[in-house]
Amino acid sequence: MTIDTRDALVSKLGNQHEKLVWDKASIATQVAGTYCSLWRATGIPTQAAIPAASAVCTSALAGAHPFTNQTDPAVSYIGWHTLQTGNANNNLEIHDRLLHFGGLVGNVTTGQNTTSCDLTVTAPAAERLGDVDYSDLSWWLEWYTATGATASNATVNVTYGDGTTGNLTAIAIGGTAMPAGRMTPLHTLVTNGKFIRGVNSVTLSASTGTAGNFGITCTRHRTEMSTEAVANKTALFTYAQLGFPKIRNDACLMGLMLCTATSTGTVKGRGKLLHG
Amino acid sequence: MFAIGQPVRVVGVFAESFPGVYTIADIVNNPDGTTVFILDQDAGGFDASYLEAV
Repeated sequence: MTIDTRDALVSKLGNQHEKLVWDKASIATQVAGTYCSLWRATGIPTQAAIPAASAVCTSALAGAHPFTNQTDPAVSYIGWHTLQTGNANNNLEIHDRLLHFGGLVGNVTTGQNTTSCDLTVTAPAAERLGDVDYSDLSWWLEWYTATGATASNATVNVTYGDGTTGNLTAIAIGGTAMPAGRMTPLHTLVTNGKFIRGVNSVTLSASTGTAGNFGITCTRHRTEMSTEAVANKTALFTYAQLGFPKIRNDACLMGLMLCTATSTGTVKGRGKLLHG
Repeated sequence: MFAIGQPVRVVGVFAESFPGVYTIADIVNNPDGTTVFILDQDAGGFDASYLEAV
């Protein structure tokens, strides 16, 4: 039954849904005001592996929430969610992780190719991408193990939705070590009205002193929640507060946050994934 | 090689993001054996291959 009335929504909330469960350990060495991925945090969902090559991410991947794919026209929605965070005033964003690439290092100054890191080559289902101009998507540099503290900059060469290529404005990645979990957004650097379809290479201006391991990740934001001034206090979010986000078949649901402290703190929560 | 206080220009794929002339503010010898030239104006560190003397 399609969820197109309030009665249908109430019925699905009470009688027909799958559960989303979050119970993530804290990740240390973060900086307030920077993004941190929970993809590699231990707990539930399980800690994910570090990617070695470009890959489409799906709900079957370790680290994702498994759920039952629906038969068109039925889809899934997040209809209700709770959040408890070990740090006060914290947040959780839920994204569909579409594509990732790992294995870039912080101690090489020649260009590092990100082979097949393009949504037309390593391609999730089109319905997961949203608008055809790729404007619904977020691209990130994601750190899996820390690189060094020596000041450096990264120039990222991308392919835009119209097939043209170019270098994004350089991103500072040194000065202090980029810790495991750090996510640096690329999408906000696009100022020419085009949106990123793929990443071709990353070039560092200097060795940071430590190889580490980082990569490219493409996600689609689905919803976000925040907690208030008391740590570990349950916050409740209804379908309206969540924006009733559609979760397409095979979606690889991951958590990330804009840090408010020097660690992510624990992140716990439960959600209802409605089908209809 | 460059010395502290020397004016330089950034070249290669970083030239567009770092136009103009900078001064070498510091030189860092990394544990991995590489040498990094720190520029003023908060421009960060660069390998010698991305710098040219002005």
